[in-house]
Amino acid sequence: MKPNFIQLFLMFLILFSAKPVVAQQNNWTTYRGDLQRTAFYTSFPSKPLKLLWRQEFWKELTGPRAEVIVADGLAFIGTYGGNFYALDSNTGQIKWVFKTGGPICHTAAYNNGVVFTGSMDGCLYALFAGSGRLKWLFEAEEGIGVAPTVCRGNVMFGDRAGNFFSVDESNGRLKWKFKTGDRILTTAAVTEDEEFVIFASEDMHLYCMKIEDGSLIWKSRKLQGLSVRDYSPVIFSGLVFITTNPVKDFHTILGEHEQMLIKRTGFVGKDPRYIAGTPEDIQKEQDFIIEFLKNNPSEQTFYTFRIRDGKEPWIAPILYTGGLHNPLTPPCVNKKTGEVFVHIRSAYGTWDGGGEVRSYTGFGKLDIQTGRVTLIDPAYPSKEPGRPPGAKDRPWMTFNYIGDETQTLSCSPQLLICNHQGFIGALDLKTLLTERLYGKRDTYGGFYGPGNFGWENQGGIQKAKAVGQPFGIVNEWHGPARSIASVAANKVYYNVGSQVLCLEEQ
Amino acid sequence: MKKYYIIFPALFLAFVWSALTTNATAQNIVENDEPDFTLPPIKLGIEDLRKVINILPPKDANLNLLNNKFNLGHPDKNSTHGTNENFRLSQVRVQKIILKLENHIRNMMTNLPLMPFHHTLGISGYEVYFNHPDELFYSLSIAIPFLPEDLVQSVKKYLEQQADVLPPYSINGYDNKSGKPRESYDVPMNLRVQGRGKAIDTFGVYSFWIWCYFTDNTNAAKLHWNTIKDRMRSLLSSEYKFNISKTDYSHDEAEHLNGDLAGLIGYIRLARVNNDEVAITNAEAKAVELLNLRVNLERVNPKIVNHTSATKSLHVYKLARYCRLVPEIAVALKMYDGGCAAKRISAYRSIRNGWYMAFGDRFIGGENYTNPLHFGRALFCSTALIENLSSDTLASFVDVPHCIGDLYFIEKCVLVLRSFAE
Repeated sequence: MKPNFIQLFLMFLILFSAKPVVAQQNNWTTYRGDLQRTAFYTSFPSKPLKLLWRQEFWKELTGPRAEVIVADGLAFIGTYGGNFYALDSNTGQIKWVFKTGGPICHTAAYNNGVVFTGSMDGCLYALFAGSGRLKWLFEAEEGIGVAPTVCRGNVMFGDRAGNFFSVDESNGRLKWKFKTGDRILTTAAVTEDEEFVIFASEDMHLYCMKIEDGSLIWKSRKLQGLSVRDYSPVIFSGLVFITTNPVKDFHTILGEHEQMLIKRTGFVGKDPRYIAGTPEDIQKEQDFIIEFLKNNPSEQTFYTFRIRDGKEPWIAPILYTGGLHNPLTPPCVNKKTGEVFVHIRSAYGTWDGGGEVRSYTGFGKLDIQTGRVTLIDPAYPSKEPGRPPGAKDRPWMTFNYIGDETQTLSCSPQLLICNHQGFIGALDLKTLLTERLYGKRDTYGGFYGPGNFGWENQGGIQKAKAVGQPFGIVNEWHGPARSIASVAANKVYYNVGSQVLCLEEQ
Repeated sequence: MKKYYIIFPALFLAFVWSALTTNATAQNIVENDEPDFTLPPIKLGIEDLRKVINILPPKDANLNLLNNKFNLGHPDKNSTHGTNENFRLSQVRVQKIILKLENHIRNMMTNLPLMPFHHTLGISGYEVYFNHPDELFYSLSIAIPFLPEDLVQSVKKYLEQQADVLPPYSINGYDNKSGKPRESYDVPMNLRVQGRGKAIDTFGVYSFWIWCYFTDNTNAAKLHWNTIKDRMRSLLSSEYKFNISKTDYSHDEAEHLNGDLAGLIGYIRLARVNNDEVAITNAEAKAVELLNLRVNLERVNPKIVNHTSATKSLHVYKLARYCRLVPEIAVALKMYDGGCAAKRISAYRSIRNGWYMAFGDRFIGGENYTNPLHFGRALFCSTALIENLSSDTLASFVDVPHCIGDLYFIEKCVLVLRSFAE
């Protein structure tokens, strides 16, 4: 039977009008995978992963927040040495290098055969991806340390003087400019309808601008904390999420919150590492945390705003969990299921398997209607002798959840993935089992560091020297793992330890 | 045969260069990170000191800039030395930095009085900056030659008032919780460090001298002379304890050495204004002692990174010997240290691309999200004053201020402008 006109029309609508939620991921063209910065992989290569190639940049350094951009068979990354590299995405060979006049701190962006990168020399460069030839450059007032956002013919980015620019993608001419009160160190995100761009400034406000003309739609209340640096707002379902780091030093705040959560449970036993809690207990804990954040606004580091009016629909029961005093990891969104994953602290069911370094750090799913979080509990019974009855554990060094170390979340339909301190770990969302996908803790992807050479008192420095490798990377202790891995054509591109690793399925 | 005469020195140089540039870096605490380049100590005398003291900072440096007489410095690899186009670019850079300096000080003056700057490091807790008038007087005074006349007048007036209230050589500094916040972020008052700033050495005497010098205020130099003599008495009459070979200093001793040496230099110059020969004689003897310590510290001790503390002492380190580095001390090092400082700074800096960014990646110490302000200051001053980079390259290291009234930002701008002008 031939389809009639109406059926053909409906098929046409389905194919071309509705945007597929999950598309084939052959390229990785922008920071965190899409303009909403959801950190979602349509699919993630199956474990175990093996190293296909590796390119070292430790003599120049790469930004620990930078991701590898992949398109047209090339993998792009810039260095603090000011060089912007195009590598063959299959072999890692350098295809071309473009020299800028200052450090390249963040991720590039790719669109229509052109790759865009900012530099601390104050210029945004548009380069022909195939050749590295300059198409145009735009001179900002100060250095650029964010990833460009390319949308609807605009290239948008902030500079360190606090200006937010939109320039014409085709010729680099300024379309509009907006001045904020301090440096812009945060990459912008674009709303799902591509009408608005949202970015944060170090004046600690979030700004929503109309992409078309640069008019200010709203400016958030002042966020608390020191900084919104490095990450970006994350947009999903009419909401925007942004994270900060607290003014209170992170060991103090983590320790205080830990004790506060234990005390609230009324626990009087000797070993608080496992405290049984019913769903009602968890609900009450979250009520308590929300009340605490309302009464102690300077300790709020996770914010949600409605895109339509810049108001906060609720305060999420999320306490600070960032490591090395970074802003805490932003949420990631499973675009297939609509789940929003967050880092969370709770006295119930989550504890630290690494020697109780700031315990009660775990993961949860944020309900965007209510702002409440459902804890994700790992499925391993504890094997450690003396562990309290009922306690669950996660094998060490599989999937990080240490409260005082940097980790950044991403997800695929099946996995919650964590980049932490030189390795990629995953939590299977069906089995709740955790597994290390690649690398090893303290090894910068398996190649440097004490996890590879041994600690200083084990001759690690000398061993590294003997093989002409760095022992540590000067800007990357404990990761700092502020980026996620990029996935394109079923390969993983991992910026770690100032090197790019390309991983594939075995 | 002749070829070997070329090859062996070349191999030796390559080995030295390799040792300097591929030094191993430590792990979570970046501490042992210096090339092991040393020289035997030398003995400096009174004439060596006088050579240093007799070099005065230029008062009319801005005239060279206004007349487009630029010194582009040594044409290093990043320099744009040589062409008309590049000369034009240098002009643009100079104008940009003059404007940055002017805007920053103008903004500062309109926000006075300012609260000291609260900086959270991370695992190391908090630091407080700019809570003593010694750095205030120093930075604003050295900026005077590069400011427009109306701003010069308001800076002069402000410093004159401050000299009456709390002169830079005072022991006490400002209340850490008074004034308008310098930060762009909100700092809860209960997290601000309690108390007042305290002078950590006699650097304030140098600051006082440089204020008198740049404002031609010989009256103040005479009026305050007796008080300053009292202030210096302890330093001049006691034994100066500093071991140039010690590698585990942890209380900023090398920074204090710089501060006290600068203080003595300022004191001798003030004594000259006051024709106080006895004071000059006493101070010169002490200054020679400290000059020897400072120069020989550089020659014999490669450990440039020292443990220090913020409100917590975990994971916090400092390039102490390059803090409070006034041009006179830098000149002394260039004359007498056999190139040690320049080599160390170059090696240390060149493996830390992007070191100069305000709130940039953590390049020193351990589990903090950014660098202490003294890190960028020390590296910038030592790079500008000792390393002899081109003025253009130095200009590229001027980023943005950390806060309103960032006195180190003012110092950086001035050093670059001086570099272009001198």
